Amino acid sequence: MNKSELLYHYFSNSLTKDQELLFDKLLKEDEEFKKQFEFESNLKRVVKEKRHKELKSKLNQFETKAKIEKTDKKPSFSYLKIAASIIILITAGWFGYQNFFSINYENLYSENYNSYPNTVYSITRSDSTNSPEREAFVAYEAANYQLAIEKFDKAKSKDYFNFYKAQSYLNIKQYEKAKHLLETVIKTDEEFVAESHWYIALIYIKEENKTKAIEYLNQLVEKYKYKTEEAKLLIKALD
Amino acid sequence: MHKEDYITLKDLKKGSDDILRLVYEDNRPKFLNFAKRYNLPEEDLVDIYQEAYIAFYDNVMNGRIKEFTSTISTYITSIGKYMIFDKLKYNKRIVHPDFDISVLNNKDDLIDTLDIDNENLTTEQQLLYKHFSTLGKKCKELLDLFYYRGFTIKDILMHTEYNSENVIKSTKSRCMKILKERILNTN
Repeated sequence: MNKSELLYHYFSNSLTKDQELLFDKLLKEDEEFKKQFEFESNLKRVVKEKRHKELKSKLNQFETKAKIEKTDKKPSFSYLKIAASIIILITAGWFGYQNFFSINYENLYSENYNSYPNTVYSITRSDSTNSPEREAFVAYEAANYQLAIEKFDKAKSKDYFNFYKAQSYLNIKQYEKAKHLLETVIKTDEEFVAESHWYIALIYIKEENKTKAIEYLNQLVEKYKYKTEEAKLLIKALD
Repeated sequence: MHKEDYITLKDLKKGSDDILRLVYEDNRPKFLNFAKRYNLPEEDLVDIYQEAYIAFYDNVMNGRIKEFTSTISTYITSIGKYMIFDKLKYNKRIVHPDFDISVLNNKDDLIDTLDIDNENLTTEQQLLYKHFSTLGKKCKELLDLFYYRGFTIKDILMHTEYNSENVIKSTKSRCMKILKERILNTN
């Protein structure tokens, strides 16, 4: 088999095992072969780029068209819709009045609580080593929180572990343990300090401890830029 | 039944604008809704959506996706999430904590089978790009089939008007020779 055929099979993904060995050998030893290989690799990248540019320009056209169609759509009113809206308003008002004088802590908690996503450890690529940290985050993303906690305990400690362990405890409703860990995050000024304020406030809401919840929410609003609007609304609802 | 449920791999490979647009519009709101929790500006998210869409399309065209093992939206979301992670790592942004894990099940396996690396062009490649653009239509099409689609000479024979393998081989060599000459002449 000549060299250009070898390259041909490489680029059409059809090298046999033996050819692969020969290919690697030539790449190391034969300067001319290496040069041709690099030329074709570059060409492959360039052909791809050309495709990307064409496709990108098409997608941008779809994007512009969608925007124009959106702004062209005029709002349509009908008496039926207006009537329906009035009924909804009246009903909502009545329920609002019913709930006006009491704080529904459980609702406040469930409306505001969402588990924090994994933003620190990327498991999108296969790692050759299956480290305890990787296992912990795989378990975390799979919502297997008990296992995540165990793996976090086994892994070599990192700054953000306390926060994610706290999240895991929150998910399995062990609020005291979660709170304790979040307080540690704040004390030791680790990553996720602002977020920890938010979650501690939510735990206090769950425990119906209005004063403490407001205390943490106020700190969050004053010192950080995380969930400011949501925190203000919660303070209002609690006051 | 959702529109994209009846779009086949074959339809996508034909690459008609109607299909491209249908898939684009069908998945756009799904992706943006999923991605808004990452607290990135909407224009960045649209950009990432487009990049993910293109990467998905690449993998359909180059045969890495041989059959759909997931829905199109799962492919695009998984690729997009991978790209968002890259961006977040770069920006270290704060994230909205309302993350729907179920969307991403099996994503590791999915991503690992795909080719989504997309480095910027090197100076050498930029020059090559410039000259590639000046090639005739026939050369561009043939090189595209070969290097983008990963077609073998036999595949090309089946899908085009060429009437022998030898003609394909010699046309390809000629196209590459022209390219090399044009590059040499600029230096």
